[in-house]
Amino acid sequence: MGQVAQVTVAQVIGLAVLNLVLIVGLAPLAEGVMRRIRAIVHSRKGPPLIQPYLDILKLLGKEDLVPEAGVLWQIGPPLCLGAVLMAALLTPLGTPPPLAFAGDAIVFIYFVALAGIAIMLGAFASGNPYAYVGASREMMMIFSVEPVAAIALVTAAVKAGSLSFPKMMESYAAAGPSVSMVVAGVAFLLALQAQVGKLPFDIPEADQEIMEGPFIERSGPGLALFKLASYAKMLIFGSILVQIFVPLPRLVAWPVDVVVNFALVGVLVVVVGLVNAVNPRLRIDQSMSYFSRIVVFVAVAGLAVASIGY
Amino acid sequence: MTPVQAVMHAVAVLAIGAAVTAIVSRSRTASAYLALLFVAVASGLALWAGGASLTGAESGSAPATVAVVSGIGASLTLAVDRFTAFFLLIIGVMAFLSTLYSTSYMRIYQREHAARYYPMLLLFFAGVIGVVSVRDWFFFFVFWEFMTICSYFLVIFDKEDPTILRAGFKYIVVTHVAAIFMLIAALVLWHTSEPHSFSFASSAQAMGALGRSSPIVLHVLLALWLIGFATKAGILPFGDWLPDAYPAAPTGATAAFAGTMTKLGIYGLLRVFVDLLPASEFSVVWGLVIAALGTGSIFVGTITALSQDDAKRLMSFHVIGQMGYMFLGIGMGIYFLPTQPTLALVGILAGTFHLLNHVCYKSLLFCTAGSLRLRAGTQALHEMGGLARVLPLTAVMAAIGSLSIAGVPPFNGFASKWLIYQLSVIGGIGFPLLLLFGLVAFFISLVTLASFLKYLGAAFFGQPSDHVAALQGKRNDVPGGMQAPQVVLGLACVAFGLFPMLPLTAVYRAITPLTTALSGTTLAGTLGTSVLGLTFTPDGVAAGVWYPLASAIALAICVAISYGIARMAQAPSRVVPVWYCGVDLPQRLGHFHPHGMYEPFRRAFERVYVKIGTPKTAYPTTLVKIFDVDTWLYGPLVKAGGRVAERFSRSHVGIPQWYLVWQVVGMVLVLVVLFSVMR
Repeated sequence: MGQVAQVTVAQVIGLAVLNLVLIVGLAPLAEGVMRRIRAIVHSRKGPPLIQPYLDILKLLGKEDLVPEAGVLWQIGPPLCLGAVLMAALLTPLGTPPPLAFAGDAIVFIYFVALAGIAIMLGAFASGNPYAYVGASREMMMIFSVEPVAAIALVTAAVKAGSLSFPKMMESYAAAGPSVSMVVAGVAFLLALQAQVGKLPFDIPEADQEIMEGPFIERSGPGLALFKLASYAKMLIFGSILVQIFVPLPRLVAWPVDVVVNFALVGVLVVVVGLVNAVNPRLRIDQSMSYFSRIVVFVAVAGLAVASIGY
Repeated sequence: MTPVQAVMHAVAVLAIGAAVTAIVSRSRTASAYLALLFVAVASGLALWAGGASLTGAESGSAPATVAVVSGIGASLTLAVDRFTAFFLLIIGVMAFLSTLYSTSYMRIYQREHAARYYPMLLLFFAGVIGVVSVRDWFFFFVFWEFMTICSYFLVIFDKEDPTILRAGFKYIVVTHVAAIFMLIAALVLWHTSEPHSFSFASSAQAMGALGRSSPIVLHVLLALWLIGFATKAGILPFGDWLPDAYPAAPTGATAAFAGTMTKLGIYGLLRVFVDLLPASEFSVVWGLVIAALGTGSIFVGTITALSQDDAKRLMSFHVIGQMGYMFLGIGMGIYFLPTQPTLALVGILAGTFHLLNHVCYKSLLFCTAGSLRLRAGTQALHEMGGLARVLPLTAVMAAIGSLSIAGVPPFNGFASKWLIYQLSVIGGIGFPLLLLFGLVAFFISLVTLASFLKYLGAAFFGQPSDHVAALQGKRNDVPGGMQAPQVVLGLACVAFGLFPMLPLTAVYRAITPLTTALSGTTLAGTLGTSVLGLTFTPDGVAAGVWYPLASAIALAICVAISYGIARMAQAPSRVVPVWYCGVDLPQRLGHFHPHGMYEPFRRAFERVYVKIGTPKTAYPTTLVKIFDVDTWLYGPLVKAGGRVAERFSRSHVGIPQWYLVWQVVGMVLVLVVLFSVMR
């Protein structure tokens, strides 16, 4: 277990609290930045940066309209946000991931998928056919995007000889930049837009055609949790991209590493926000063929390069 | 009592039970409960034999020879080594649970005779127990064929449906062709061994000798074995019979097939390729072939499952896909057997652990499909909907089974798939093809998820279809006899998921005596010492970790935090009707048709599964005419009889005067005769 085993219980809890606070606290800000960018592109003034915080706070107090009282309906939103927070606990944010002793990259990917499952089960529980359409699209997005992330992470694992995030970071920082990791990073970046559900890939929600799809029946606190989960994904995937696919040296103290991490994630937020502002929505089949091309040409190429040792 | 004796007693009890249930079969209830009683006794014996051998100190009891067929060198030799013991445990549990399920489920068949079900089911279990216990190819085939024929009669139980008869015909033809392949391989080994013998021990020696003298022959033999076992396991392209035959059988029997018979393909595979075949370059070649076959099955089987509408047919295609995962894990293990024992151990562990997990969740899922059939009267997903309100506990169990088969943490399917991914990544560093296999397996695990979310969404949630609306949505879950197996299997899925080290220890004890190549490895050195989780350490370096209990607790805390956030402002809640964007739709129009789900994805992979049709058999026409007794004998006889009866009936006109006339005529005739005689 090496370095991982030496972390004490107190450190794990401290790191866990730090991760949760950072992710939940900063996620709406990232969304606020993206809204502002969209407004700038549209030549509008745009909402204040803290608007998403206000949205969520307001939603938390709004009346919760329940179309069909069932346990599954109640479980959906907390399970979705819970799975995203669990993924956050497995994510390195400049600090080692607090739950690195309990799960590796594969576990991370599956917890991200669990968030999608929670959205779909919540949609099924609503009994609304639009929600079913949205859920079916959500699933198709999962299986076009997750393989890209998986192949990119496996590339990193092949380079490091290990699937655990701290080992990957360690070995990449020690070995320095390599062709395969750059290609894998590009593949991960290309999938990022869809992972966070932004245009042109907000197909499951598609508010103009299927009225927010899985969330059509949601109001109040449930909707707030789903929104918070979707904002948090931006920071989580941004951090993974920065920490795993950029060979960052460890700096003097961990707060500096965290600041560097979020500065780079901020750059990603701007990029994602710009792409989001200038693109129309794709159809689901177009997006699937887009990702199948990325998988075949970019991600697999990176993996192939990695397996011959570059 | 030794384990071998216990196994013999179990087979005897099942045989007696089959006779008794056949005798009392006029009463459905009596034969059902007697069958349950006999299976319970036999299961207890099998479990005792399995448990005693698996936990025992030595690697298994000595083989006991019961009968000898001296002329051909065959002997009925039984042995319970730890590997057999592992399968006996599975068989013991599944036999009892599926019989228990059947006692309630068989009520839906009102017209069929009970004698066609319970005796066959009991004989089937006897055959299965025999297959895993014998140590002689001759009797292996006796039990194997016995099992196949009994299962055939279970498949065609509902014989009024011609599609079921066709499925049964395809099943028996395909599996027999496969059995002939294996028989050829066994005969060649019999011929090679000196003195001629069918016993496993002499086969192993013959294989070793063949490997040195004529490798081509050994390759051919291994190919024949592989085809035979892959056919039984349902691996494509040989397992084409499976998606037709499994849905045809009554669900209790399907659960038994999924829990025992299909797994015997894996039993045979490990027996031949790990136990009998010495670790050599043959292992490398055939390990790769097995892994490649498995990957193909994973891909084609699961993608095809996505577009199925019949619940049991959907699950049957998933059997093919899931057997592919086992083949992939075990194949990679066999590939590494001569070179890297640690990786080999992980591969065989992963495949065999996946087998155990698959027994739990696939039998569970088949049971839930049967429960739906009992309550909703249908297996077609588009005719269901909203059934969670009618069958709440079944819905929960179906959700557990679905998440387990999709490999969602922390359920059991994830633990074994996690091992397979670990091995394909770490093993793939040296041999990149394994990376590709692993990525296909990962992608398909998402497709599995999609497919079972469709099952859940279409059957249990959403608006009820017309069909279900007629049930009036009253809570009416299945009887205890069907609920108990579901709950037990569901709990097993959760328990094996949270504590994977416990079943893995049993699997480790079961597989290590098979080959000396694994003797240098330890479970603690490969997967860590903690009972709470797995730390994969291939070369002393931790390559991956999975601590399910810690993750589950952390997830629970995260969900609790999220729930806390949601309830922070104490928002009021109100029940409202479903909103169809302002249109006032009747409920049935709000029913979502599961056909449409994943349509773009389905279209992209439409051509992936090529169905192999049963060849049309043509007999010589004269033969057909001779055997067609209906045409030349019964038909004409019936017609002639009909004509006579019709002539006779013309005299019955129903008018009294005519009857009087006949009586007068008759009397005159009688008088004439009397007078002529007396004169």
